[in-house]
Amino acid sequence: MRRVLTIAQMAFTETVRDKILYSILVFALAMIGSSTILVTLSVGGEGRIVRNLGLACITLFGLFIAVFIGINLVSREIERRTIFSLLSKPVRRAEFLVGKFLGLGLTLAVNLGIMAAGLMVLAWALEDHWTPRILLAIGFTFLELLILTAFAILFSTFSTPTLSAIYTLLVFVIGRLSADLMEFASQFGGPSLKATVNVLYYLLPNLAQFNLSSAVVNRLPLDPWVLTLTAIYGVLYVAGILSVAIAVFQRRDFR
Amino acid sequence: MEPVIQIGGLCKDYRVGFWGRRVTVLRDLTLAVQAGETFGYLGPNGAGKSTTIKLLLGLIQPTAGDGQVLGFSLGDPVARRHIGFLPENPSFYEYLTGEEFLTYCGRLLGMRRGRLREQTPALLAEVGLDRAARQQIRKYSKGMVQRLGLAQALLGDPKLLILDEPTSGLDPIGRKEVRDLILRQRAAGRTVFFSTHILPDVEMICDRVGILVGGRLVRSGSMRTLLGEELESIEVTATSIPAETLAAVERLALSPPLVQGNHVMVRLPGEAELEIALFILVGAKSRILSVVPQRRSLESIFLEANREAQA
Amino acid sequence: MSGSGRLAVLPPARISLQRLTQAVALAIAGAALAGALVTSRGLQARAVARTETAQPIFFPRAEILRPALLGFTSLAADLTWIRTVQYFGSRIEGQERFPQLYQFVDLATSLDPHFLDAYQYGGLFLVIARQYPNAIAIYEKGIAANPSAWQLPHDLGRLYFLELQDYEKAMHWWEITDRLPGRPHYIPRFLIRLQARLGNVETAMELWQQMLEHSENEAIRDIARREIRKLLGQMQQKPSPGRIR
Repeated sequence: MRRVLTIAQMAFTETVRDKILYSILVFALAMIGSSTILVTLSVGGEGRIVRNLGLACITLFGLFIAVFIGINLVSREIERRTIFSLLSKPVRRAEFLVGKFLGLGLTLAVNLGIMAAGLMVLAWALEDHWTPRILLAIGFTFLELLILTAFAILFSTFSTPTLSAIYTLLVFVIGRLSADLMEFASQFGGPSLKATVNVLYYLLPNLAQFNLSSAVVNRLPLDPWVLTLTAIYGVLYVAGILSVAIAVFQRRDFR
Repeated sequence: MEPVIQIGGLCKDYRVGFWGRRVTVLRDLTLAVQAGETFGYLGPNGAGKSTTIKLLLGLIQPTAGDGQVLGFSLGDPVARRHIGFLPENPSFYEYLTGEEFLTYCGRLLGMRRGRLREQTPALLAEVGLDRAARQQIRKYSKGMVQRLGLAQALLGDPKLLILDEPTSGLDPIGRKEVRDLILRQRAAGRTVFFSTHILPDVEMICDRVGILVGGRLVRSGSMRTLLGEELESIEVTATSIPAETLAAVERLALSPPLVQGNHVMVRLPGEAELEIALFILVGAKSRILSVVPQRRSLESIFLEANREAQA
Repeated sequence: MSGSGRLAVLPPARISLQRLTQAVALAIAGAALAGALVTSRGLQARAVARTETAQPIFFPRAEILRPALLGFTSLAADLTWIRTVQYFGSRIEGQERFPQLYQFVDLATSLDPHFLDAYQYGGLFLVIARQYPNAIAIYEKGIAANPSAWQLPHDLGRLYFLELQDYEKAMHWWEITDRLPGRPHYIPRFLIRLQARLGNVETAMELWQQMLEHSENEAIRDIARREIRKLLGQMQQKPSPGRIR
């Protein structure tokens, strides 16, 4: 356990020293700030744009962080062979992956926190468009990003950095679409299409349910039971993907 | 006493290329290293030395065969607590300083904080990096990285040191320092297993040697056994030799004498010929400068083994 | 600079070749960038000319657009709405009709069916543009998607009352409004006045009586008294209880 935490801490340190992170963060805060301009262009719906743009930025930039930094964490170690000095210590391969995952999770949490704080300040300054439920939406976005991080780590155990990035982004796209795809298939599809879509739906995560922005922005009621189930689904999914990653990683040869 | 390293029938195949062609890198390797000895693992490039080492550490899985390290099966993480490993062409996290990296390694080894804090500066000093301890590794030269690698291998007082090409990239001073370090470890009772293709390093410090060619262990045993007790030749260097004496000596010699100015050097096949030659030379009032017995060199054995394997 | 010492040693021919290449490169750069600037100005002028001949904007169908947005539909609704406001605002001086206003509002509200302001302001814009059937469609769409929002039947009722003078429809929608939580306090009074308008003077009178008796607010009771007096006056002027239609 101590080893896992050591690796996690080092992973966090590594990502914090990565300059790309700062560029992404600055860009994200700038975009969130740009909603002030958009507010002046609208009549009606002023508060919404701040919250919608803020949440969308947090999701997108969080996604970039999860994908690009997540992939570097494992792929770069293997590529640069710094992993040898690590795996020749009494570190189990599972501990390595879990440690990296935790470190990246912490990085994500910190960055999302900073962006959330920026959004809070903005929303509060611009005539109080803040609701605490925005934090709930950000929390679920965090869970969504953790799922994608797990995928990024899984892909980078066996694939090149570029391909891993592409696969992870594909998972994001299909994951967000899977609910729509199910509907589409049930309405228009033949049996083979339905079967394929069914497989995709259950195999890949249904990410749409982690997207609370519409409900939060429109102040619609949220069912706590549904939210709890969604959270459990997320956690189980992360555990599942990480387990697959560990299984793949166990058999991998490091030349 | 159980051997520290014991492998039997170890094979490793790789699949390369688009069609997944099978390439055999190690064939039926059987080898044992006893506690406290310094074992030199020799072979030309591509023979499979690094592959063997990675198998010992569990970095790759064998295709067949098995082995034990320190009584644990290959790849068992617990064994690695007592192993210090230096990879070939090591690379470490560039954004860390030497000190930070050693601390990180120590924590992964499960060392207690106090002991780690003692050992880190001591090891850095031992490998000559005490002034660079606070510099980021990205600023280290190749030699410095190699030395840091040695330091992290020594961390935690491992019972077994496994070093893959420990002197690669080092200048002669660096190589001597590494040899001295290995000798110190041997004096401390540690087992050292290192691979190299630099023969003099092995000749000077190893107890036992293994020669790997084309994935097969073609020679193994103590230096004495391999090199044999017999002499290969004896070199005699002398000066002021009259011409007839030289002709007489020449007949005894293995090859035409080497003449450099006044000095003449002859290679004689054995002690009998040496006696006669010395008798003739002294009788002709020549000055004998040196008599050097030549044992079989490791190099000649190595080349011979390589030739056999090609055939 | 470490280079300058070495340059002095090079034969003069080399120096001028380097300098010459530099000069030529800079000249080409200047010319190319200047040309790019001029071209860009030309393009801009053309673009301005083009927007003045109102080009129809392509509207994707919401169901097709929605999946492509990957869940950012709420934001897309916002951006569409901002575009709608600009569309409406940019033409207000020109006093043109707004041929695509309905499509804008429809898209924004399809992307986020719970975007109340879009229904409300969108309906308002359509009313200002005198596109009454479109406005009604928008309000009804909003009411279907947001049955507990009082604002939408309220605005629809107002549309029927003020613009279309259709008091029965107004009454229908304001009755619905009356039952929704948070509805404004004047709705009951509007309903009573509507009754009077529709000629149900007695009903109206009764309702005002009720309000007078049950209201705790003095100002409202004043209003109730005034309305009762007005109705009494009306009833005295028209002795026969006829239905004004």
